[in-house]
Amino acid sequence: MLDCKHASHLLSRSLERPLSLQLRLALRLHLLLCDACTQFSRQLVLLRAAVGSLSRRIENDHSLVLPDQARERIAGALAVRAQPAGDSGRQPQGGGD
Amino acid sequence: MPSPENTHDWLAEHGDYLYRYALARLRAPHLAEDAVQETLLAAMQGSGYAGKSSARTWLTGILKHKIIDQFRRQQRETALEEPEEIADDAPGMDEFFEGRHWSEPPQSWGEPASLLQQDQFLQILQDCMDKLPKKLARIFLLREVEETDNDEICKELEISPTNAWVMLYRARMGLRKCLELNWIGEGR
Repeated sequence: MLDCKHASHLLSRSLERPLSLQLRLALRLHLLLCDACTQFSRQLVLLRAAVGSLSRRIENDHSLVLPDQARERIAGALAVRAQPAGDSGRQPQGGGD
Repeated sequence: MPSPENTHDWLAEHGDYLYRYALARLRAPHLAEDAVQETLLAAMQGSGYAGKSSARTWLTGILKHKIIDQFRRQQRETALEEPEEIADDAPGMDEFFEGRHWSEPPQSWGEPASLLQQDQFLQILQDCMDKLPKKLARIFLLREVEETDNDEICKELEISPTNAWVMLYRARMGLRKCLELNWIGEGR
């Protein structure tokens, strides 16, 4: 018989990869008998949806724009890179790592 | 190879879009700005744009890779700061359980469809994500927003599947507890 700790771990893992039939059955049996883990299972689904919803809000929020300073900096970096590379052939990447 | 004029047009036309896309995943303005810059620089050097898809789609494809690069870089930096953060095989969730049972059993948060419409609920979720250890928050975002599948996360971040499961589990457990304290506690 699964305990709640194990069941909660399996519930989270089942969002990543299908569980074996044996584990699925054990989990289903546990959920039948356990309200707390049933709630947890709902919470996991809700968390996933809510995080997606937060991100879509950011994507669709047209008041969020690339700040002018950043835009100028990027335009500057593009202009530098656009200059003929000379005879070095390959320019070093900006990051330097 | 795209001409420099193209790249500047792309910055003008798609800069805001790319910025929001990056912000939704990286959740930090300076990192999002860097990702946009790296994307346009790569676009300028690349020969990949054949005009088959829209420029925006093509740029977004490059941006996705740049975002994953950012994640990887940050995870490495964080690894130096919090070396003991994640053990490979230890869920280490004792704080949530007393013996075999939940120390604070999960509660209902309300009707899912209505919760997702509520600014307050989403704001609390955002605050809770900000409170998670950064490493957990990032892998959670990479998984849930980018919908990167588990194998790809493991490959990109150079971690084992078990480690990824444990980190996602801990992120979810941390978030649900935080939401329960802050949402059930005062919101309802």
